[in-house]
Amino acid sequence: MTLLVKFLLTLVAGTLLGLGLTYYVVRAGVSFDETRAGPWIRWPRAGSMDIDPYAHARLARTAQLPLGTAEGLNFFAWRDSAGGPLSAACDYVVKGPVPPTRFWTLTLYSTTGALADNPAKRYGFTSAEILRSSANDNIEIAVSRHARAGNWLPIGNVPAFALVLRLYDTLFDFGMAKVEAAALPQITKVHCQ
Amino acid sequence: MTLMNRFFALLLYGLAVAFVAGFVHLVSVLAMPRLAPHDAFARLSALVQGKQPFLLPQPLPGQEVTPFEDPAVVQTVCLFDLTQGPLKVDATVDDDALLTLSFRSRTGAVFYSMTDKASVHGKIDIRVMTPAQLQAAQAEDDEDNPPQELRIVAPQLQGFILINALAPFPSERADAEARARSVNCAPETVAQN
Repeated sequence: MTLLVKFLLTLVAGTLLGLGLTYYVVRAGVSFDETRAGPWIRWPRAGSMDIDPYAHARLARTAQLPLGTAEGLNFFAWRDSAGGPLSAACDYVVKGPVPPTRFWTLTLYSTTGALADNPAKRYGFTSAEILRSSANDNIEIAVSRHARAGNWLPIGNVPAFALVLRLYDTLFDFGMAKVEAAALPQITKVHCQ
Repeated sequence: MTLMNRFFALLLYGLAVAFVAGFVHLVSVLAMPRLAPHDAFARLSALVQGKQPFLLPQPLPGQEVTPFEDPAVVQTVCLFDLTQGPLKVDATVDDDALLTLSFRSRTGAVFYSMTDKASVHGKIDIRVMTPAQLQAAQAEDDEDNPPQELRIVAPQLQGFILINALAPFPSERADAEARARSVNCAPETVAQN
């Protein structure tokens, strides 16, 4: 009798603990397939059948649709190059090279992936839209709540945000290799209010 | 002595709970893509009606279907079910405009992806099949006249094809929409026999 109760208690406690762990891990976005390049995070296998089970579970929960491996690459940033969270109270500059690609887009989202409404109705830039100051391939985009000269990406009505850089039809295949931080733009905090 | 015994008994229960928790955790992570109620396939199924490819709503704040949609991209979707026969996907691509396709299983894993650059003589000609349908097709093939189509075996009976057309400028959205709609993905009736 007591043995049966103890057995059942063990089973219940284990099940609750296991489900709790799954809930936490999937929510927190733990993945064994994560590579970092400066502030940018990439999941190289997310767009293939080799997707790791944790990433697959997370995608099933959020319904996010990452680009297929042959479509392009996506890089996510929730933090700046210094490691601080991307806050709507601050101004940032996204500056640096973009790897050779047919097209790229840079988009601003809420931290969970909703588009951030703003009066300018601008949610991102494409490689065609961007104004380049010099002949080199470096880009420079001002990310701010307030209008800025040049390429201005408004932050909109979110307290914190994420940036996603998508390289469509890359001319250079990173494969599973680590992308160097210097190959991607830096996200630098200018000042905060 | 009794203290020692109690300690070992507790340790044993702790181990048992950890074992059950680990098992439940692994099973629940692996089962998540099949059980998640609001995954991408469920959201798209609720939306798609009428003729396919179905045009997804333009990504704007408040009307996103999935998180982290690219606002510069026009997306159409084809849901498929191979129970009745293979799915034929064909399109004619021209100019330098970006068109990408990703073939995704019911549980959201990308099993094939491509861009318009992978077309042959300006044509995309693909047949998505089950392993049995592939065998049947191969048995009928004429050895002197190999088939021109690309055959892809789907890991699950159900799935969807996501078609991306990039609009480099907002004014080119109508072109991108036409391109994204131009992909034919009508399910084949059993008429092929």
